[in-house]
Amino acid sequence: LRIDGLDKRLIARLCGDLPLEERPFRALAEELGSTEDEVIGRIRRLERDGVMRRLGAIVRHREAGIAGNAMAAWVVPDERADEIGEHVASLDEVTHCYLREAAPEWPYTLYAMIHARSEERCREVARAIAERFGVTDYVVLASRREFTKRSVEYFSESIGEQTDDDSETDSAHPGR
Amino acid sequence: MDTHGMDKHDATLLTRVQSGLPVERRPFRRVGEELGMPEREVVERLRRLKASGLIRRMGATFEPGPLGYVSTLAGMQVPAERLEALAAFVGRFPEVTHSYERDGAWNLWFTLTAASAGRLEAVLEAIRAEGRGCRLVSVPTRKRYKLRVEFDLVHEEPGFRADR
Repeated sequence: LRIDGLDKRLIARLCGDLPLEERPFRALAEELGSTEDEVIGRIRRLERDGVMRRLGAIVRHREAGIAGNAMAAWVVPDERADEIGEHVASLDEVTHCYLREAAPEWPYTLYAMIHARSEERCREVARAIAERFGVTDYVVLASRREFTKRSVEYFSESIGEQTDDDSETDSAHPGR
Repeated sequence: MDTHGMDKHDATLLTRVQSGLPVERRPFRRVGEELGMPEREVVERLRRLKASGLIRRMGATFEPGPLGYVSTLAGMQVPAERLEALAAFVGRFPEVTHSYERDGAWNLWFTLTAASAGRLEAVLEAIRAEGRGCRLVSVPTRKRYKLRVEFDLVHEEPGFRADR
């Protein structure tokens, strides 16, 4: 996998906003001193190589009506992690599911981010997983306040000043 | 659903553009063809959804690993009266992508993605020092089973689907 200077600048630029116009990649190419087809070819390659996850809209889901969100974590024996993790991953309400290292004072290893229209529904989803697999040592940590939400700015040094408003720290939406 | 003035066509469009734009010269024309909407209307609606804040960003997400980046999830126990100040400190690092107050004694949780393991450790160390004795755990990923943050905003029942 080779990432050259133009790739880095393209990646850094795509961490911001795509111009909302008929030919967005032509606009990007002009900014980067490249051509539309070159930019399109490189983005396709980044996607094909598994470097780019996706190019699309990232939604403020709370504002769009998905109000409940909780992080749940279970104590899961290693040998059952795949079985349980794959089931959790299959659930519609689960957006993220990871197996993580345990810490001495924090024994949980299987994590899920659960999104639903209510917090109560998030708790039901977590409880159903615990009961189904008998992994009853678990926590549901609902979010009380969002302090920061931003996208990673890869290779930001490669394009100098980032000015997109996505990098804001957002503490203006307390208490949900 | 009618949220932030979002109408049925907005919900359909927003659901569609979460799952990936076609990477071609006229991506919005293609999306419009799929939805039976003129290209100009697609662009105008997306501009409005971006301006209203329903679209946080129209851009790309990347895998940290292939780009040489490392990430972790960290939790802290912070006394209530110090939580806001410490969260503000944490949020000043561009490596911190999500930070939330959560229920329970472990009340501050944040994710970090950094350009190197050394940088990740340096940020954690700075936060640990600023925490002045607050307990901190860092639990890096061993395996990912799912990462798919897409919401079906069209179907009210049976709720929504995160994975379509």
